[in-house]
Amino acid sequence: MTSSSRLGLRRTTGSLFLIGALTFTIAASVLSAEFDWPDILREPAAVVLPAFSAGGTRLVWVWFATAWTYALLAIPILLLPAALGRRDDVALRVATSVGAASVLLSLIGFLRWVFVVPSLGPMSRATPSRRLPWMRRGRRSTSSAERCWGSTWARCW
Amino acid sequence: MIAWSLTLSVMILRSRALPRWLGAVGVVVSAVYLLNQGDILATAVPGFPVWDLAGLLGSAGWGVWVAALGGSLLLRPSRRTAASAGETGDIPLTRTAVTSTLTTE
Repeated sequence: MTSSSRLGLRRTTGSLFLIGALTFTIAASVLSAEFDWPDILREPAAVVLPAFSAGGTRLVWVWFATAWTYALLAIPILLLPAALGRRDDVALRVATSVGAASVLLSLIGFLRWVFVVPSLGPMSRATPSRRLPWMRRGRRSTSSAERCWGSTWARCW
Repeated sequence: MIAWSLTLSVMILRSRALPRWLGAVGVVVSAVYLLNQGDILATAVPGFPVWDLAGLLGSAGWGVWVAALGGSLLLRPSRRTAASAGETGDIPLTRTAVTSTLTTE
């Protein structure tokens, strides 16, 4: 790799770290203000799901933005060893793989609130005799998620 | 993610590929962020010690550290890059300046 291309890679990696950190901070701050995240996750489902339903479509989009701004960090994490000229550093390579996998798993975790949880909101308010149709709706949501992410990751999900 | 930032911070401290303060801050921030796991474990293990500020300080500090990492990459050329650029003549001013200094002395 030439020095000029490595400098370009450093600038790209640095810019993506900055952009990722700033955009995720903004998205997470909005999510925290509108949904009391992450504290609300310690509450029982009977509290969380109605609060999620009350947030409406806007809250789903905030979750979507939070998910993908965090996922953006995977790119500079993967670029960093080359940007530092340390692709032969075994510890850094292992850490890079762990970090990228962590971002991917977090992305899946965030996107559950976009693809799966919206179908659980009505179910939390339903009487037991009325749950079956919504459970079917939830099943359809999972199927669309499977189409989106592939069956392997959906099973892990 | 904490494993990534901790490993990277130790690498920075050992290799000086980036400013040492970034590595030192990264170790501290990673340790604080790790303490936030107590909050999660407490949901499954009643009575597990929890430090409430660990989540706020750890996540906020970690975000600032990632931004600082990006800023450091943008602002500071790596030693390897500078060295290889100097060898290939990409930064002629450096050699010229050294040569002229040696000549005048």
